[in-house]
Amino acid sequence: MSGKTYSWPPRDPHPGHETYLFDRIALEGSHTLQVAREHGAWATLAMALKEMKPEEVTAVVKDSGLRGRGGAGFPCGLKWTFMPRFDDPRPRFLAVNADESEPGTCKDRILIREDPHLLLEGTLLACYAMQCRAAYVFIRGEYVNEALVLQEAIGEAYAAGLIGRDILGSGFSCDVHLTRGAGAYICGEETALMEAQEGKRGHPRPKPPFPAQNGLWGRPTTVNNVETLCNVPAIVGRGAAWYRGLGTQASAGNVLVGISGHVERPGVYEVPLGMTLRELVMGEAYGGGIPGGRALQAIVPGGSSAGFLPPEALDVPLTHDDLKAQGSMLGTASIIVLDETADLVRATRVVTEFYADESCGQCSQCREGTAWLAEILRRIEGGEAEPDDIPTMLELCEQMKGKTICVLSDACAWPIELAIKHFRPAFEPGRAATAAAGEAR
Amino acid sequence: MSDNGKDVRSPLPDERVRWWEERCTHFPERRAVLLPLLHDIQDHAGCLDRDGMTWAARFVGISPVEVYGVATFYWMYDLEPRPRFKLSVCHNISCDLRGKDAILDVIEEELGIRPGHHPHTEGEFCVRTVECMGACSTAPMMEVNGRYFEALTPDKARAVLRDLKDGREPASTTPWDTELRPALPAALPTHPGERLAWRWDHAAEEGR
Ligand SMILES: Cc1cc2nc3c(=O)[nH]c(=O)nc-3n(C[C@H](O)[C@H](O)[C@H](O)COP(=O)(O)O)c2cc1C
Ligand code: SF4
Ligand code: FES
Repeated sequence: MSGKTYSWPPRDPHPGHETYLFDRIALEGSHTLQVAREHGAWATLAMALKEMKPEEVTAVVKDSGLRGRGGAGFPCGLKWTFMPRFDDPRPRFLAVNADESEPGTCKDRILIREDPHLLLEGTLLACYAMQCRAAYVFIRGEYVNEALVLQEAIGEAYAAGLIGRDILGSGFSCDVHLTRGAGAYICGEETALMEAQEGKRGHPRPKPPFPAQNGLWGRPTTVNNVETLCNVPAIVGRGAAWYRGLGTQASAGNVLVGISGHVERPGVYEVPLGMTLRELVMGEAYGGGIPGGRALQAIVPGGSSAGFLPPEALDVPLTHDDLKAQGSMLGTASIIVLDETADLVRATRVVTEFYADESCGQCSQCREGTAWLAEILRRIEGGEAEPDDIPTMLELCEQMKGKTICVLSDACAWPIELAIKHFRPAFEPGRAATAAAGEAR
Repeated sequence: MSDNGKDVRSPLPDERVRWWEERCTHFPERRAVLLPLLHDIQDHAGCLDRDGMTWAARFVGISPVEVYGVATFYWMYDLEPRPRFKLSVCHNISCDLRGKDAILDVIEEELGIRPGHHPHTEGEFCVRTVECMGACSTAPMMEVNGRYFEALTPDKARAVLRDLKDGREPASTTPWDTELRPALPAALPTHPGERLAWRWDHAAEEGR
């Protein structure tokens, strides 16, 4: 395939909507500076350094309505304005969150590996807007190949004068450094990320103080997700009004939607926000429907923390507000499809065990709650549900929310609450034991 | 763990030690290189043993017990030697839905071992199940020594395992092959040298 695409794995034909994130990924050698530059990379940075003040870059991003793609959906430009004024003499940093590990999510990996120069250009634009001295990219340790590609791209960009001292003769200087993690989901949480970047265990820090005042090494820091930063070159290059024309009023722009589980064509798709789950799961250009004509049982709209919704949710548009109204969230926009053959209790147990494994253990509600919930779910899955299991689980969930240092604890509770709300009978006594319940741990 | 004052030999070649030394100047504190440095030591020495951790502690200027606390927090560090091939199979939701059990069955048939969440060793292989590896849309997946095998079927998994057993480099299990297949330890990336904008002077940072 030679032209621009909208999906990974790359597919033809392009459904025709405007795209700007995946345009280069199907090109031969897309990860090299030469190919990326031939197809537009770095031109926006050159323009911005010449023609725009840092505040103007921030203003465009703020006006565009871009919201963070790392899971929390916080307005990006607004976050940048939380950094101290430029007369504050302390060095300030950008922390690039490339720790992608939310179950169901595999979009940042593709951006990093197939178009690292898009990420680097977005990173430099962000650093220019906030006048950061350096960007520290923290990538999950499992992404060995992606780290090598990105390190290579950083080297090429330094050699071409696009990173480092006096970038493109503008007088603006900024470094980009890459650090590999070593395997722990919690390091994606922004304060744990900073601890890991500093060479420590990934223990989230209590907030306040917020990173913009006291972040990496005690200096003002902004944390942004890989995909968020990859939106920035298009926004700065084509303007806020153009960007707001994509997506919806409150959820502007395109988003990378990972589709996994029981669909014909799992993949990662670049689509405008506001597309319905039905189009994404069933549409020919996207998931292509459920194999064997089987019926849909449940759908996770935004990574494991977003929880399980019933088939009626298919008509919900993929936006922050519409999913919140369902008691769920856009999260990482990663759709997981469960057909009628899936065991919903098992799926709930699998994600709960994940949170139990990944809890850093600092807060007792989280450490004990996640483990206790996993234990109850294992028992229910084994066909030994007891009458008070559901009330016990709901009470545990209640106690785990809003009381801990970070929201991993809440993220464990939400899917269980949603599953009980929509699929209660599955968790009640009378369930037959399944073969899988004894899976070796 | 204690560092009984004995001299620990560097687990890394001199050239690499110099490279890490330079890299330290990219950060306000030397400790910032710890996670990737531990990877490098592990890739060279086969595992992160006591000497490796003690040397790393000296290098970044913290106590060995702190390094131990870090090393045990992250799953990718091996505190004891592992066999030649390290296999990880994702057991999280997307891979579970797409048939990770059938992949575990194949591993059991081929290697005589059923992976669980703790590493098991059988001959030249060490296998375990792991959490989401970021290959959910190309599930199920298996990772071997840093290389991903995605969109697996039982037949494809079997072919990979047989290649490994017979000492052949397995082919990619997907139509696209994006893997650089780094031979670990990977080559040192070139550092920006001249063009670097800032270097940190750690002596000046002290006491701030
Ligand atoms: C438990 C937990 C895990 C997280 N994992 C990630 C992650 O892997 N990648 C990511 O970008 N954000 C992750 N986040 C969100 C970050 O804390 C943070 O909101 C985000 O990186 C900010 O970037 P954005 O505003 O550009 O989205 C996680 C949050 C929590 C609570
Ligand atoms: S909520 Fe859980 S993961 Fe977050 S800090 Fe507390 S114990 Fe750690
Ligand atoms: S769930 Fe297996 S790679 Fe994400």
